[in-house]
Amino acid sequence: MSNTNAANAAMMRAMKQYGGILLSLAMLCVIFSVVNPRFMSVANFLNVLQQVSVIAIAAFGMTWVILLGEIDLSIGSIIAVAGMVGAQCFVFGLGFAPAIALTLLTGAVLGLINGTLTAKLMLPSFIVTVATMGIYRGLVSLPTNGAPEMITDPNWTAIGTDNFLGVPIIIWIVAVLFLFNHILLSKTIFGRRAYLTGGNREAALYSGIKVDRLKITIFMISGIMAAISGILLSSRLFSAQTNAGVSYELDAIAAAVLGGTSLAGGVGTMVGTLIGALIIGVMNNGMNMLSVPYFYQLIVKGLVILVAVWLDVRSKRAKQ
Amino acid sequence: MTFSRILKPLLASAALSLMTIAAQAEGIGASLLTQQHPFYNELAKAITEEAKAKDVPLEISIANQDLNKQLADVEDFIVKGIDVLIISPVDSKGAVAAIKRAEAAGIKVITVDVPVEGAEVTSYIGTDNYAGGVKAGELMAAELGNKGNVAIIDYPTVQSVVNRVKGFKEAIAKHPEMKIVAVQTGITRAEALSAAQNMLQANPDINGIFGFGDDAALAAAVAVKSAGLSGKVKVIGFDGMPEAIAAVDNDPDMVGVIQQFPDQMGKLAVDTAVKVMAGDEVPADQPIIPGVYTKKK
Repeated sequence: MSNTNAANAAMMRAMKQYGGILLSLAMLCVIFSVVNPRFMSVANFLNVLQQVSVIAIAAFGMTWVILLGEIDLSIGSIIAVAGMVGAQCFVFGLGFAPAIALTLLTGAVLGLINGTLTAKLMLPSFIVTVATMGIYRGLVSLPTNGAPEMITDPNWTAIGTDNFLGVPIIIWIVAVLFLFNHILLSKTIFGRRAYLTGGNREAALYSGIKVDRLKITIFMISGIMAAISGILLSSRLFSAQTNAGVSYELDAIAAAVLGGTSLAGGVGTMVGTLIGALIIGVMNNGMNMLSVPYFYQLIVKGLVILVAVWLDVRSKRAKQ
Repeated sequence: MTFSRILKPLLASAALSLMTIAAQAEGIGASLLTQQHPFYNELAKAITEEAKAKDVPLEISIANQDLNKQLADVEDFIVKGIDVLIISPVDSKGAVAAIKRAEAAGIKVITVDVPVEGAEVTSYIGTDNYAGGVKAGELMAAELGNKGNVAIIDYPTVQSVVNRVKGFKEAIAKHPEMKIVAVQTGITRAEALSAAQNMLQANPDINGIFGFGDDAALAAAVAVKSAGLSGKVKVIGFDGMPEAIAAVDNDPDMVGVIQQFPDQMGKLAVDTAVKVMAGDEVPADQPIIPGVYTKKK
């Protein structure tokens, strides 16, 4: 009995927290399926999950950063750098495993740079990452002088094209990274420190949290997540593009904020971010299925994000 | 809270139902590079009109120069179940993934404007850029009386532009008294403007500039004026969109433009798609020879 009660309580809590946004997602799905029956198919469901994978993973990293009350605008550029580092590894004759390792390391280092500049030089992360966004975008163009680099390594391209147990590998990767980030944020001391620091920096300092180190670590997580997004993107496209991921940081921010992450810091969950990313993916895919002209798609996407954020701000004000 | 829970989905659904358009399942899917360039506007218009004339269902998606979006658009076409994909690739290498996916789903692919590397397609329809480059070179030679110094604004990562510039250089090389003194990259109009200014600064004896596209040529014409060389440097462009045509008519420094025909391309693409759907053979390569537009005498 008590078990069912506890389960019910957890269910109620989840509905209270995510009810609105889940309902939005369900409504979008219903509308799209009514208009085009092909929308509600397993094939299209897998389709949406694959299309949203790059944004979702980047948004997991972004959620950490926003939780701290910071922002990382460089992830779109890191996505491009990661793809290019992978491609160049193959140009220099390295194997699959070292290429993956070097790509992830690159993401970590680029995040380390963002974090160190923000934490140690006390610069606003907005400015730091506007600057590094440009720097990283410039770096990515150096090896090929702006041209794309083809990737022919069969393991690398398999990530974007092959299935495992009937489900695209890319979706497995999203699932694993979701669980990793979700557990790290909700079940560990590290996650609790992130919430506390984002909610009240002074209190965090007085309670002995090494805020600088935490900040740097979180920017590194963001960098690594963006690098993984870059691997997935380049594997889907069979090539590293110097203009890959342009403005993806904005989609990642939108996914996190749609999912209830507060730009003021201290509030947010990975579950919310995943749902936020799915809403963006379903909107893109569904409007394509409905043949909504491209410019109207932009307008609708912007409006939906505006309304969701307004409701978020409004409900928080009501609670205070 | 209750209010927000109800309002949010309602607003989203209201916004969407406003533009609920009956979705078509069969026919042609067209994935175009951008909708923010007159060339592609013309192309999209021609495709739409011809599809209407031939009475075939048509869907158009705009990739907004983002390869990942183009791939997603094509995947959505596959789910919708189109028969033929008309695609103007975001870039010639990166579009391979989208094209292979469509072909694996049994969809025939026609590339328009930009050819694709690394995949076989049913047909490619595009401007014969090399022939256009040769025409630009011949026009330059005629305008300069077969002698003088020429500069080029190029875009070396795009194969179609590389072919244009190659044709231009080879046509100039046939004239021993003509010399190419500078080649610089200027992709956007702003970059082309600085490229042209730099070249004019470094080589004040330039007599002619060839811009790989309208933007490059229009920027070069501005640079010529701001350098005080108006009337001394002849500018030739490539694309022939309305702004450049007007410049040829009105701007003394803009002497001509090689004109692409996106309207012919779009029409031919749809006609080819219709033939493919009927099971007819189509040529693998369908070049469209560009025209030359010069000042009205």
